[in-house]
Amino acid sequence: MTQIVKPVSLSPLAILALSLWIGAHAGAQAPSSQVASDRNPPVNDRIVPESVDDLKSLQEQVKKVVAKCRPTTVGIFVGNSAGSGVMIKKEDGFYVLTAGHVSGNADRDCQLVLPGGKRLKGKTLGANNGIDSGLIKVVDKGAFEHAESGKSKDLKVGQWVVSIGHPGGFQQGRTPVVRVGRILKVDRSTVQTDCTLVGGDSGGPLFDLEGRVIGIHSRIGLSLNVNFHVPVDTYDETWDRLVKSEVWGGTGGFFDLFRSGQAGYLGVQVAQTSGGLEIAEVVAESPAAKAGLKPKDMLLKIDGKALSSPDELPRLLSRKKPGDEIKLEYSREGKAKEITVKLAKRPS
Amino acid sequence: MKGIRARVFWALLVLPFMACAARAEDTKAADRTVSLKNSTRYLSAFQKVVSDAAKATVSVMCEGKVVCLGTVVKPDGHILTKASEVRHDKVVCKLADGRSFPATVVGIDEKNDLAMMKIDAKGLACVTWADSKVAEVGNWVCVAGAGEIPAAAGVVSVATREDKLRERNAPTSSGFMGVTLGEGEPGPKVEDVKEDSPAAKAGLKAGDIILEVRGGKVAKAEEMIRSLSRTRPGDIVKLKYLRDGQEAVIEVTLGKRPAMGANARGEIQNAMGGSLSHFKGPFEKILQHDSAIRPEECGGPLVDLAGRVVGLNIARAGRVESYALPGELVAQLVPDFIAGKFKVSATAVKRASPAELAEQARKELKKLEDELEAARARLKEMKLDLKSARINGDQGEERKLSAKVKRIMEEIEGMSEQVEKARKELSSLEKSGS
Repeated sequence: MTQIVKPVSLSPLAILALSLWIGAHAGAQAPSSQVASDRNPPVNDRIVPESVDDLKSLQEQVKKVVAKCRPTTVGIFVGNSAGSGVMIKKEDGFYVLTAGHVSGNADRDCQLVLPGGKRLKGKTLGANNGIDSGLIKVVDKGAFEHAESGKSKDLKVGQWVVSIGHPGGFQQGRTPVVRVGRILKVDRSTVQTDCTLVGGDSGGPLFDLEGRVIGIHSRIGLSLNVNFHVPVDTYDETWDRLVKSEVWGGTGGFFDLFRSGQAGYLGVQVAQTSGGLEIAEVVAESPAAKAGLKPKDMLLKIDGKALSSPDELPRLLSRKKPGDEIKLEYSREGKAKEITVKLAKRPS
Repeated sequence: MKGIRARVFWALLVLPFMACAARAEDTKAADRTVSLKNSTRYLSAFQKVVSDAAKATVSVMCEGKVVCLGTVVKPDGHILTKASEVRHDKVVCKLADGRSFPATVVGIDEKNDLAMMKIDAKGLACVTWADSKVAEVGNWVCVAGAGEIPAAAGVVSVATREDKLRERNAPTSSGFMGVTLGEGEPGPKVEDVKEDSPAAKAGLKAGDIILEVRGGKVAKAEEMIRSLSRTRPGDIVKLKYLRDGQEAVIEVTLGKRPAMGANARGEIQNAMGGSLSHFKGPFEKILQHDSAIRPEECGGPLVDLAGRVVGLNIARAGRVESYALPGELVAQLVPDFIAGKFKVSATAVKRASPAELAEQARKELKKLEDELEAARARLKEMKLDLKSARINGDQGEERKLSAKVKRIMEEIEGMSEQVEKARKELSSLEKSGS
């Protein structure tokens, strides 16, 4: 068995992101032992349904969510990519929450397709590529079915959720595709579920059993249980930046490959392991590759500063410019090594 | 290198989970953090609703191996199954009560990939088909398996709809011949034969008129394509054709369809999480659900929480989708089968020898590696062009080139996946051959 994680839009750009952006969610959060919540219907406590009655009550709840939420799921065509999104309403009009790797750069024209096939004009706004959130403004006027946002910070592992989207991209004659599963892991940057996703689902909504958007589909791993969603809270927290068409962020991750940045570029993916910061991926022909870094090497220090978390790498690199040299200490198979790497400009 | 990377990710992602499981003496915590979908405990909750249908579910076996499931549709031993999985003449059906019977395939509806089998038995438990309009989106469904515990469970993802080919990528897992077909008299006309393709190796030429494929007459290109869509790479297919007024018969050892960049990517993602059915449609109508069935779990009944049999599972079509033929369609086809409307050509499939298959795989791998190499060289050149565009300050050119670079990097990524897959296939063929 193998594990790789891929973004789930059909964006031709995003294939570069085939490799994993693992750093941000490598630190597993301890599972919460309390799932009951006052706000959730009791059906949410059926962590493991044990009888047909349990299943029936879950079914009723899921059907309510489908009735309420499926009409709010949209298909997105932007450039050569097809993705999904969810309609929401703000004081100044309608917006579509989607994945950053679907909306891509700001101020691009895009087409939004409602479940019935009606097409609307949209404009891409900002994106946080670090977390893969993206926003689109609905340009056409009118009133549209829209979803209510939940709070991803209140999510509990084990909770049942409903995933809707357009796998393979919007298809005439096929309603948005519904899947059901549970939250297996949740932290500030990622929600993981066993609701299966595939290319084209990217940007589509994940709902709780009350029909509130709690996440946006982002990327997948080889196992059917590895499906990642962007937690919805991040859209609220960064709303002003997204609306202002700001495109930012990245953890040195692949989503960044598509944006030009001024930070020095090394070209590695790292993951936190019990032994420290391990290289998960070396981008072909990057400075890291040229310097001979390989997956499984453990990164120790940059310019004498110890690296203790995956976040520290992009932070240190962001202070460097393309062309700058860094002294990098790492260990391979237990042997410490030191090299000098000349940083490059991030490939556009 | 790809293999190494993949293993790295496996380790990274799975270790935290295993740590959780080991730590979790409290099973409830594990219940929350581990997917339930395959757990017996979870699937047991469906046992009651599926119990009647399970009695009418059989294991279809060829050469001692379960190839798929079957559904008993009449007490007199009529059993439906997925036609393209039954590839031998000797078929055995193992009933839920443990008895085994030799089966004869008495009819095949190619349009829906359904085969009707007959066993010499009486008084069998059989299913009653429900109209799939009761299977509303969000309804929970489960898949009867060979035992008492259902094989899988999920929800209805899309209500019954007409199935259309354009909704999916071409079924690239079928066998590849390498011809361009047009219409001719009295059968499809070969307009072009791809160089080095299986058809070329077998001696097929442009201008040949195809009369029969796999023992069945073909009048139109579409019929030939449909017939070939049921094949797999390595199958030996018999063709009868007309050349210069002379009829002749040849055997073509089918190869693998060359992967196309963008299609390959969809294929790869869809295959993440388990194998898919070789034949994924189109069918007349489909009911789509998200139960993660294996290809060999097709052919059995799909049951809702009220115990109604709303469909017959016909394909594992992608990472997120399983298809069932809706109950009302199957109910309507059963009398047609019994009346002998659907004929059968032989079900046995002739296969190339393991050595030939390995040879084919080696060539395939070499070709893919060469293509990858060429793409890498193109990328290198393009990067140099991009660099000079940057130095020259030609922004228009720079944008154009960087878009090209992205595209080619995408292709390279897809190709590397293909190479890795081809390597694995070759090594497993070499193992089975030796």
